Amino acid sequence: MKVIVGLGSCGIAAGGMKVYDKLYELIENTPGMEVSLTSTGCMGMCFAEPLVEIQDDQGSAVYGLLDEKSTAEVFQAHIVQGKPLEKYIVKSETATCADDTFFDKQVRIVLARCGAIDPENLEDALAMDAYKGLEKALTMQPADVVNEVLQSGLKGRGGAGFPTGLKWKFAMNSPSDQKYMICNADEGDPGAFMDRSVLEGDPHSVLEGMIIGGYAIGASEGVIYARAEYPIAVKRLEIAIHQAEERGFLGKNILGSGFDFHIKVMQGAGAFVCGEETALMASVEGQRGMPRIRPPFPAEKGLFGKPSNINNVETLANIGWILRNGAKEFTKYGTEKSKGTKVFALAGKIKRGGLVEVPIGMTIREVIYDIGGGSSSGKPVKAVQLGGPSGGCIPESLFDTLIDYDTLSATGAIMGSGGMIVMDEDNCMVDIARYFLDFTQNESCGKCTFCRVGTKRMLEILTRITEGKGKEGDIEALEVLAEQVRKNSLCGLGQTAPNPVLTTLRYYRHEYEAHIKEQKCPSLQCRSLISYRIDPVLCTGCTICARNCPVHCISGEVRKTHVIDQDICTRCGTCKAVCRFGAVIVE
Amino acid sequence: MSTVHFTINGLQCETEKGTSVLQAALAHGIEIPNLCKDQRMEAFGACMLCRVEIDGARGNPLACATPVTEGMVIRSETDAVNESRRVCLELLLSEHTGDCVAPCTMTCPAHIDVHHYIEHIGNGEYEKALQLIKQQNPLPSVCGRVCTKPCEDECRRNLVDERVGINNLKRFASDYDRLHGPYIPEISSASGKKIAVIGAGPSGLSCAYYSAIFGHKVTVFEKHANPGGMLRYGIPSYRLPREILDFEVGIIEKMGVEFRYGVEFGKDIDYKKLKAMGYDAIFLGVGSQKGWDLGCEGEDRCSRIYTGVDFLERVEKYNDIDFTGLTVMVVGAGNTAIDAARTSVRLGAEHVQIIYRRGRAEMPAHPEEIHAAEQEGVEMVTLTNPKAVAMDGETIAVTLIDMALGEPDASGRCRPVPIEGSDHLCMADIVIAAIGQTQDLSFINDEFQLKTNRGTIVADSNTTQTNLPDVFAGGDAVTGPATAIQAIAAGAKGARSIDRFFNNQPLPKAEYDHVMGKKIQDVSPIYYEGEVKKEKQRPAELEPSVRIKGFSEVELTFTEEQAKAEALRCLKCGCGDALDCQLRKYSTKYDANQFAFEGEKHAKPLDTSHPVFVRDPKKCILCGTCVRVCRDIAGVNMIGFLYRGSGTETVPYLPGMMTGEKSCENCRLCVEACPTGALLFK
Amino acid sequence: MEATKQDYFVPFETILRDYTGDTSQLIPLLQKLQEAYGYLPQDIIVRLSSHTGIKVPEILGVATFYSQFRLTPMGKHVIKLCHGTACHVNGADNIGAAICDELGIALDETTEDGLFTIETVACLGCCSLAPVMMVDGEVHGRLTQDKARKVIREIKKQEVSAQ
Repeated sequence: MKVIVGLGSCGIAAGGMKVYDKLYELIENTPGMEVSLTSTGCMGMCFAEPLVEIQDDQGSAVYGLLDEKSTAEVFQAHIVQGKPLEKYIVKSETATCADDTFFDKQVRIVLARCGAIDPENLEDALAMDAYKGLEKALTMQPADVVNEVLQSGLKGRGGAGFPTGLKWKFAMNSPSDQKYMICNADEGDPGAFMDRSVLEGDPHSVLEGMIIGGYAIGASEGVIYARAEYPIAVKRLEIAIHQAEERGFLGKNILGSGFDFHIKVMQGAGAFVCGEETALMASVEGQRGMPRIRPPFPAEKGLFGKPSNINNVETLANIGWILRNGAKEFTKYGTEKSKGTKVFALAGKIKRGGLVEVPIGMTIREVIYDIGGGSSSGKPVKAVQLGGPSGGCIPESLFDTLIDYDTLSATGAIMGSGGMIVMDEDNCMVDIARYFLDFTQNESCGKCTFCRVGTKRMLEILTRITEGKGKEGDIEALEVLAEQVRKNSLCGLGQTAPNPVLTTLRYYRHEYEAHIKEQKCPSLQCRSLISYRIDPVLCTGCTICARNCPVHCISGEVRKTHVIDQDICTRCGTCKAVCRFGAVIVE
Repeated sequence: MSTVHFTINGLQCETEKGTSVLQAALAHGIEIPNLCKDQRMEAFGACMLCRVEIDGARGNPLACATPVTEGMVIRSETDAVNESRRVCLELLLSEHTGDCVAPCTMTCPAHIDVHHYIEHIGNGEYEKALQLIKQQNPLPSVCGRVCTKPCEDECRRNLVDERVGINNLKRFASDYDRLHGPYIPEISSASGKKIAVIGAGPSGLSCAYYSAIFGHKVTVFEKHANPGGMLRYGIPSYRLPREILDFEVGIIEKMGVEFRYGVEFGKDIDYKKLKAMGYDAIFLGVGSQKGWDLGCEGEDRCSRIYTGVDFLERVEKYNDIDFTGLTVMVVGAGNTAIDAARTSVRLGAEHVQIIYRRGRAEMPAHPEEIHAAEQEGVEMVTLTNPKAVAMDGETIAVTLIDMALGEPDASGRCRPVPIEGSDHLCMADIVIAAIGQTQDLSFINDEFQLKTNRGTIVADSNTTQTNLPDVFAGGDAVTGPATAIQAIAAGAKGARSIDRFFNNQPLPKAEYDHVMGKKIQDVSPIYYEGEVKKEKQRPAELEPSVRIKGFSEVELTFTEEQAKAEALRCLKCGCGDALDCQLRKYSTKYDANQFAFEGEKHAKPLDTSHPVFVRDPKKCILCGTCVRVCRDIAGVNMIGFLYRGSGTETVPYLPGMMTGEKSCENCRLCVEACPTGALLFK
Repeated sequence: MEATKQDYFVPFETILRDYTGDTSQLIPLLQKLQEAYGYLPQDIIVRLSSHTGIKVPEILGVATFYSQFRLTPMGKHVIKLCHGTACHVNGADNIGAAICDELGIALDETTEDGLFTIETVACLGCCSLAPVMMVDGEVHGRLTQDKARKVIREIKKQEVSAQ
């Protein structure tokens, strides 16, 4: 019997360590247990963390939302007595449960091993075909490897969607004594955790992709640039590199092929802009992460002036599979123009939030409802934000759009790196635009005029609008600025920064107008435009709201109607959250 | 050495392979704007101003970083490209804090270069100061006494302690010149053109002065016997001594301008005659010299009621008025009313009152004048208006009625409303109605169809040209009653316009002027927190008891010590880079508006820590040129970027800032390379 | 005093021992130095400059560009409030208001007793558990204002009992 505890960052955050420790204690103290207790990375069902998978001769059963008490129950029932405890099962091969369908429509190429192996155990990965792609690649000519990737139709999964094979070809064709293969693991989009899960759950897939890439383009050095906020990912990568070197998958004369390749990991230091290729390279060179003019492109002149190829984590995680199974197999998934699968980090007001991998071409509706289970708040889904601060909001009316690079661009959004945030009617779209612009402004490197000043001015306008100080001409000014910033900024950060504004203006102009002309926030979210009051009919005088109010602005005697002091109230919403009688009204 | 062929804006060109679009365009006379590309270094990609359209390219590439390739088609002046440039500049301007030109100069209707003439005075270069003043104003001694000094209202020193005594300094420089000079400007060679100036008032005199400098032959036709217009016949001599006025007119005569007195346009001469006499252009500076009557019941049956301007003109022309023992009532509270009141005191009146229908705060006269009048014994009666007049023997019985302030009218001032039943009688020997003036344009007829609007001559505000191409007009005749300096400015504008008219030259484009704030109320005092307060110099004054005995000047001129001390109080607001600034140059070319995108500006204070230059982060456009020049050209690497995003700054490092660090070698390359006034030599 | 001064630079010397002259190592060096000293003191930066030859303006330019680096000391307990999209959508603002109120300081400030610093970070990557905060490296998810306050009070209690 195998007991596997999910200990990716989310698992740990949800209390996975406590579950692990409890199981360890129980197993230790129960004689005669032939049970192996290990951990794994993200299983994808983040909504149900902490997760424990039990594999025995009955098959596999995944338990979710465990705490110490329920863990003890599961231990007794399933591990000791061999009887699966249905009430805590979230996925099972034998028993049925409500969340079964989470994986039905998914195709796990990139996430194949995530959640199925112990990421710190090379044998687990090898048992699931790790490095078989590399073995195959080393029997081919580098140009043929490039061609295979080209034929697969794989596009950059970091967001730009540039054909990977073509990128490799450019680097391969740039003559130089030294070339670099770089993995962009600076996953900066707030709301995106796909790369983190792959790095934590299956680091060898990324290493394999890099080594194959290095072989193809003729690079002998590889750099993985991982963001500072992913310490576990960095740790697992370093362990994996060490293991790979010991086994001969990395280092000199890899698998006897004569090909040398070394990888080192560099940690970012907190700059979203370093997800941009030239800024990333500047950072590796020890400088401020300020993007550089392109052309020349990295394939021609990159890291330390040498030809370099930069790929996203998810892109690289596909490579091993493609070489192992062949480009043609890969093309069986996806649409005519975009092949393969895409990993999405589904979050927000969604019942089953987590990591999902679907074939490109599935509709948004399918992902949100069939896989994600629909709205978590009881209120209908209003929109979905795709692509983080570079992306856009797509309204519910367009949920039948196929998830494909081109069809998504047509809506004004982008595929992006995979962040998918679901929103309901309580989310104000003007506030969402402001939120993203605030993020972009904070992360702007400050080099070029349009991004540095343009996004700031846009943010100021949006902030005023959300504070009820919007004026005639603001929307027009936003549109002019958005267009100019998009056209003229130096790098992708600035060029895409206006997207959230442009899409929300396109689909939710009426919300902007309500803020400006009527000083109203239709979603009742913008604090300056709402007020809370207590309905005297429904109020029972239970005093819960008064006791919980962080600014002590609610007065009232026991069993008498309570009143909120409007001058002090900060609109935090606590009173509404704690009132059991629905007596707090927002308007 | 291979050549590539390309097309730019339809022009077929060729250049050496590898040349950037920016360089190649420049070689063919097309300037693509750029603020961060230095010839000695690689393209950086900060300002984003040089983007151009190139066929087949993705987006609009940067001209500074794109090498020309064979067959390239470039468009650098399309509407879309220009709009992007304008927005780019407007974004930079929205953060920029400074004044290209000091607010005093911007406010002065004649745009006198105040900042720099004050600097000359401070350096003891009084003649240079005067010459600079006379480039914009030919009557500085006059203005030094009567100007309303709008420049001082906007003087930034107001935000520190008290305004700089700009007018007093101008008076000092001009009085000095009168005693030690005078300066006569150089006259260009004769142009062969003749100009007829109608009116020897401030606008006419100004037009004559500058037209003479251009080498044109000028004749001034004046209906009165003496020059000055309102300066002589509207302002009493205790405010403007006649010798001063005549002295400055004398300089104009010395420049070859002919004056013909006792000649009235419309009666003695007219447009047809002037054209027949060979005049190529005419400037009308006829002013607003008709006083409004009281406009109350019984006025036409009364005697000894005069308009303010008539009264003052009479005092000037004939020295025969004696008000000893009389009671004088002056209606109105503008400068003319105050002048009439103070003149009445000097003529021996026993009791002089000013009757004004609004309140004290609404009185239009200069507060200093009002104060001076009170010192001399004039009584101010406010919120009162005459309702009717009737003769009672030799005295005038004036029925006055109290007023209350109501809703604001079109001018923004509160409308005075009579309080019913508050009538009361007041006796006066003389009543002077100084409630406004209007223009006498009776010379307009079928043969001279000059366009007017509501009693004023219609003239272009930029050129002073009227509907008749060779007729120009300025001053009160165009604006209605206004100030001397406005008239002088109009005259100067007229002269320059006439000269361009003669030479078929268009009006030059106005240069872009950046301001810290539209008005001084819009400027935060935070920018001046570090300034040390210095006491304001005040010129000596005659005692009121002495003053009223005659018509001598009340206020005296600064002494030299006073002038130098006051000059040091000037904050030198105008940017030292105003003539070279690249940002200003492009903002002019692309019609940028600094208020297009209002928002938070740089507020970091001036950094004077470096021995050679001053760094003003408020003017920095983060082009990064200083950083790169120091690193790549000087090889010293002592200026760095700090922080990120809109909070980024470029900061130089000096000895002592960090122990043991080798520092700046004062090579000055950074200051020379800076495209704006962010880095300026001390 | 001499002894203390020598001790002070020991971590620096240890870290710089492996420096081979590759100036591109600046960021990893600063990361290690910050880990050792809690922040980047001025004298450490100066010493780093003289040891590596990288000019001070350049070091400061890098140190002030990246959010991770601190030029002033931080509180003993660092609270990183996640402000990623999922967290924002699930009320991160309210959590922020609660912890600021609890500690009596604003975001990006340190308490007077030097015990707590509150920072906002763009995304901790635990979006399914939104809203999230990380305290002393430990992630707390599915936060409510109450829960967030309780975490802080726990730490305060521990500090008091440790005294």
